Amino acid sequence: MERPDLYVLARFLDTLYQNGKRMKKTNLQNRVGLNYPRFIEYLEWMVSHSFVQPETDEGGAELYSLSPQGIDAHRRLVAWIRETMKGMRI
Amino acid sequence: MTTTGEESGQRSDQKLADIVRDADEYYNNLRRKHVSDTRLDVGVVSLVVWFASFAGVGLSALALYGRDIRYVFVSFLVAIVIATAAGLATYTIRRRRGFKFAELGVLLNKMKQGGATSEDGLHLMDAVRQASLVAKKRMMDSAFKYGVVAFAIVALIGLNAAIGALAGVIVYLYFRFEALRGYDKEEKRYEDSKKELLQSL
Repeated sequence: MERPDLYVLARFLDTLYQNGKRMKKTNLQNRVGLNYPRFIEYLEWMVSHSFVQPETDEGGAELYSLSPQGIDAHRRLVAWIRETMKGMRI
Repeated sequence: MTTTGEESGQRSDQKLADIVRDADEYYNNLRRKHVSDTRLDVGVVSLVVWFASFAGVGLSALALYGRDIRYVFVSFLVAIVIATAAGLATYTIRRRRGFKFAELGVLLNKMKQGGATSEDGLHLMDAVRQASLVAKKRMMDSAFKYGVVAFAIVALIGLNAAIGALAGVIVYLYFRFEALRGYDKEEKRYEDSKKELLQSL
């Protein structure tokens, strides 16, 4: 994926951040509202950038949670929104 | 989440709340400014149209029917009707433009009721940008007004309508250029910072 959509990234980060704990893939897909191929594309991108850490539970199910880098990315995104909005004037 | 993660999360939550508060302030200022500008525009348009109509209709009546106070009185009334219609038209146009802020208001209400997310913040930012498009339109209107004022002043002082028109066009083009330049600069700044953010992630 060359240039991810900022809105989708924000939704991923928000979902995992607000949930606060590990999420199953299906649950995460439902919450971000993407079709499966697109969801996998974004998930792989987020894992490759170390924003999301994949784990496997005792039952062998794949679980995903936000890594410290992911939390930092969320913080930077929010800080960027704040700064950009400050710069917008009439 | 680790302790650092929790602290970072709390800072994000606080910043999101700040974003909503700032946007709310911005929205209220926008609405107040829109209302006061609308009143001013309606007043100025009504007055100018009344004066022009009164002069036009009155002088025509005098020229056609001779000096009769009744025609001056009728011209006065006709000018009031025309000026009221012009004022109402200005008010309607301005009000329609004001509806473009509505999306921002709806989004803000939603964010104030529920917990704000960064995605909401991005939508809010887009709504603010839409509102700034309305501001751009207003600056273009101002450029036209400055042009008309320049025309009137130069034509009156120089007693030459052609030079007045030239001055009016120059002033209009200058302020229009400045308005568009400011807008383009802001758009470029926004796109560049968005690219930078995506690259830094």
